[in-house]
Amino acid sequence: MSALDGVPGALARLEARQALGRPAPNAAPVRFTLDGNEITALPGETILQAAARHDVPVPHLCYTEGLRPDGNCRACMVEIAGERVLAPSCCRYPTKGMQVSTKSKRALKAQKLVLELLLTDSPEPAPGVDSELNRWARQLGVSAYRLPRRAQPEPDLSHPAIEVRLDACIQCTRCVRACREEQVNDVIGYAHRGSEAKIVFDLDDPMGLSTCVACGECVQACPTGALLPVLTQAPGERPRPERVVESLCPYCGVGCQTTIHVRDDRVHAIEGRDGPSNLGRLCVKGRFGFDYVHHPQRLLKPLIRREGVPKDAMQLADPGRPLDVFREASWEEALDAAACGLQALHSSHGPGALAGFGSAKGSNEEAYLFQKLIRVGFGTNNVDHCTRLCHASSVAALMENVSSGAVSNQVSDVQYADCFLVIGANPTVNHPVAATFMKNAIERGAKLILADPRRTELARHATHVLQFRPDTDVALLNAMLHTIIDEGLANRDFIRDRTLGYEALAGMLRAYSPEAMQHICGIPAAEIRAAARLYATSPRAMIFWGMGVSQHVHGTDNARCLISLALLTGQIGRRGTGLHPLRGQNNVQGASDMGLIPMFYPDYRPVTDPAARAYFGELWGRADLDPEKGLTVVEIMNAALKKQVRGMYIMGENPAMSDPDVAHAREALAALDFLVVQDIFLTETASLADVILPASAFPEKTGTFTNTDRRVQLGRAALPLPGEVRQDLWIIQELARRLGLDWSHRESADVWQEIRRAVPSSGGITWERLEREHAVTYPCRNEGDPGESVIFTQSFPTPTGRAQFTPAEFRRGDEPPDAEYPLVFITGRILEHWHTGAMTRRAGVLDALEPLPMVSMAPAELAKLGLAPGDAVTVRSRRGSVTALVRRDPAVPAGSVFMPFAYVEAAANLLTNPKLDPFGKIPEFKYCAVGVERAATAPGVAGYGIAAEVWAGGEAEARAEGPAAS
Amino acid sequence: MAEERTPLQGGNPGWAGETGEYGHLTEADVRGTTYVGKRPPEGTSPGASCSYPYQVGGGRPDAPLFEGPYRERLDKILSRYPNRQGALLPVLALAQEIRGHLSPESMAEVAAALGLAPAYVRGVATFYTMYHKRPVGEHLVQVCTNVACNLCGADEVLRAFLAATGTEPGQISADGQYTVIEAECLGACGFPTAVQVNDRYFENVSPEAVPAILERLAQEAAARSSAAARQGS
Repeated sequence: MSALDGVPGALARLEARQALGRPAPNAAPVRFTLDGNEITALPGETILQAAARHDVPVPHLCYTEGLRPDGNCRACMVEIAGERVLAPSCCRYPTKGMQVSTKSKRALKAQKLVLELLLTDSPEPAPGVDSELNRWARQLGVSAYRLPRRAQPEPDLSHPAIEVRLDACIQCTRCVRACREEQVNDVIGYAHRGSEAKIVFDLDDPMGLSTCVACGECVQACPTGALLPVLTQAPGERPRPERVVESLCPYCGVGCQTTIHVRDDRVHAIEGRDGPSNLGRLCVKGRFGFDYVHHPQRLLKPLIRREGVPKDAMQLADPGRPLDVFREASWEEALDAAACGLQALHSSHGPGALAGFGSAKGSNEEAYLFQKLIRVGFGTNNVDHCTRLCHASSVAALMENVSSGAVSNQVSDVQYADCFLVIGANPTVNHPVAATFMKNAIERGAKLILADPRRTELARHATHVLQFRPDTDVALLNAMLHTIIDEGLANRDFIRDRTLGYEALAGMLRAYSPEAMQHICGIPAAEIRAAARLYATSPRAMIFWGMGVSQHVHGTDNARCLISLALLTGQIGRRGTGLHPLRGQNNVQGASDMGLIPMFYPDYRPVTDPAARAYFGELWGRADLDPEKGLTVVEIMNAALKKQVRGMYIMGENPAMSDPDVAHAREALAALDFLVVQDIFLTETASLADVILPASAFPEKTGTFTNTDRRVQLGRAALPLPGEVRQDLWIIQELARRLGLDWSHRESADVWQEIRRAVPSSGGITWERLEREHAVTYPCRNEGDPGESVIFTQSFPTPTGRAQFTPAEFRRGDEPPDAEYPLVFITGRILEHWHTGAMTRRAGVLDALEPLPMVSMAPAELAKLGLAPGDAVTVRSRRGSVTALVRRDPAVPAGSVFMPFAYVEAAANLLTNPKLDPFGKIPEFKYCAVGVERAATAPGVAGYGIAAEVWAGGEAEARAEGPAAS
Repeated sequence: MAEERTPLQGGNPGWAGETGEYGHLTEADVRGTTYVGKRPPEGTSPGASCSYPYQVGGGRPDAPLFEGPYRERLDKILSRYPNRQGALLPVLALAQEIRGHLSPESMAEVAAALGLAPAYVRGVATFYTMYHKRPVGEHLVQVCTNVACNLCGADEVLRAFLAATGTEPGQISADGQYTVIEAECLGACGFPTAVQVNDRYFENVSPEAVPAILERLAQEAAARSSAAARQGS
């Protein structure tokens, strides 16, 4: 494939396209003649693509990179010697010796006529609108309007994120393909016929009222500006970006590559880039949720708590008025205060009195230096981050049974799968771009088994929907395992050659027949058996899971069952098989790899292993590293209340919103003698701090981020730092120096060099390669290794090389519903809001789409309580109560309540149960008992966002400013 | 297998027959009776059989979709297609038979019943002119105004129908009986002006013939309703 050399990513793209079920006829390079010059088309290239790569422009409108060529606009017609009619070059592949002319008289006449007819139907372009039609018309010198114009439709401005101006529409149907074939959201259609043909949303609804999820794929695809992002500027004032920066999306673990458009040092727009994890696709958060970085509440100066202002866990500071509680300070003073406070506690109470929370949103370099600072500077392993709250139990089970905590196969492998199981995950909301690839796989013919107490969006595409009772995961999965053994579907060879512990598993499973379990999990035995059969007998089957599996007191058991499922059937170690816990945060994989966890050094080397301790002692220049495992997130909070932990350094985490029983967590934070918080906003956690260090936001920094696929990707700084904000890396290093460490200031690229020594599985990834290729998959041990997308192909990295079956008995959650608290409380996320809402609720479009705290309940439950959608309800548990608006949602099972945890004014975690899984130490976010009744008052008000203004009576003012104004 | 089928007397040779789970339903049950047994007209070739019932007014806009016998017919239709998308056209026709026309709400219900995207259903329904997106009268009068008919005075015929029914194109007459529209070529260019009323062709129509045609339609309608009343009593 030497012809592919020097064309970055060409082979990967070809592979990805073919995996999407669009194989190209020319699998080998083809020599052909283009406008008299002999050129070579790469495998899979159309005439148009080959021409573009050789700088021969052919006008085209309905075709764009990434979409299936449709050949409907006929602007790309070329003449092929010996053929009677012209051919559309976007969907024609060259053959050997073919003679193609893009500029013959006939071809040009056809191209120009198409452009002229389309121009006739289009309005005068608004200044600044980057219309591909107008660009091609200029290039071909087409301008004359010889034909009568058509009547133009009115614009549809009903959506906060996207303007619909169908006057500019040329019916190329790129948006239809983007919506239906790429994202598979199925919102956009092409209706009516002839001259009345038009693009419609659902049933010709206004876009803002349609089921549109605002992924913006259609906006990115539109060649004429008929679909445009809403800007705060008036139409007609759409300035072009001054520069574009190739970076990443800051939100979920999918790891979409983005292009950030910058103007006047502000983010102007974000577009999807053709990265291996997203192939140019994005979701509403990635595309429209960027203006939080410019929010007026950004912290721009270091802050120190005012003398005599107490820390009140019940009354958090107003994020818009930090100076009520804090005073501004210089960096010198703030850093000195932070270092002195922590140092004093270290001297008086020893290293164990200190702890640190890093962040899965920071870069690998930040995570690495942060844990190194805690371990070397503080001298303790009390360092953790939010992985403890998301996949700690999955990682515990994976480490135990296959000795590797990361995914075995990448999301894109779903394209090779014949069947895949999605359990306890709602990817259309939490990993929207990954969900698009799953939906693509289903369109190609793969079968989906969806298991979730809620009937989520993917159910529409599923072959089996197992809507099991909350908390009964193990019963369901054991029944599937039982079926596989019972019906002789187990992979005997795989079990014999590559696993241990089968007999114990088989023995335990005897009691778990589907017939016995159906009464527990609520799925008919025949359905369980059918799903198990489908998974076991598919040539290639994959498992995806999310927080619905992990966030239980039996989270580790849930994950053990999934691992057993893959091992029992041999559905691992090959393309299109394997285990994929979908990672929540953009760098939760990386932060864990970097050792931002209390029991492991970087690369998962146990802190209790003397050899590992000696290695890192040598690398870090401190011989007496703490030999004990540190405390985990919830344990640190408990220790703080008991005054065992007295001082903390928290970087980019918000435990005052994200921890279970958050009232307890806030008390614990308030009880600390000294708290340093490094963040971009005055978060709920920061409001209990002694010193606040204003940190850099994602688009302001350069660093590496590891996505759910084990892909290390490069995020590049696009914006200068606002105010006196400093780079997080600088802050960590300054603090380290003040704690007596002789660290010199280093940039991300330098820190990465050290990481390569600390994390041998990424040791082969050079910074230069990241800059060149943007993404490299680990394991990549030596320079030049391609990176392994599928692991466990030959053996497992355990001492025996075999994987282990760990049987898991079914047991109940910690707090089942009872007479006083009759409903099951399930927490999670919604599409528009990210985690504790610190970023997304300050992003104009996202906040406008989902401004108010809400809970969802089944129609039957609402009727039982005499509630109507939109009523304010109070949800109470043994730990607290919150008030939110209730939503009618048939997807939520009867007997339960679903609530997103992004809302500070109705923090779901005030209710959740802090009981921990004994292995992963993860709290039971997905299951506790609550009661619901009509509320006496309206929900409270957050200190930011449109909702705050609406509730405060400033509705008219807020609307006048427009949704994107903040 | 073909020889095992019992051919319907006068039925559509394209009919798949009494097969599958809903074998007890006849073609008339599934497709309605407006043409079954009447087409192909006696003595003509089977090719004259329209493969599709021409659904017109008479449905109730507020009738529930796909309940009772209609649910059975829906299931029967679904059983005849490899996937649900394939069944969309006959299911839309069924919805139109029940309600008389296809409102956006009906399209949404069809989309939900078939698990298809509403936008897709909308696209298909609005592409075909035989699906009515608005209510129409009991008799849908389509006057061909394409070239051949136009040369022979189709405009006058159209005006005569509009005047006689007291409507504008596309409107329903006050008595609910008539909707008159212009049609593109009806394929009867040898007999201009061609007019199609529901599933029946009237050929060589002149403006003068219009009152007689309307009179005949009214008489037939009266006969039908009295026959229905006799059957009911």
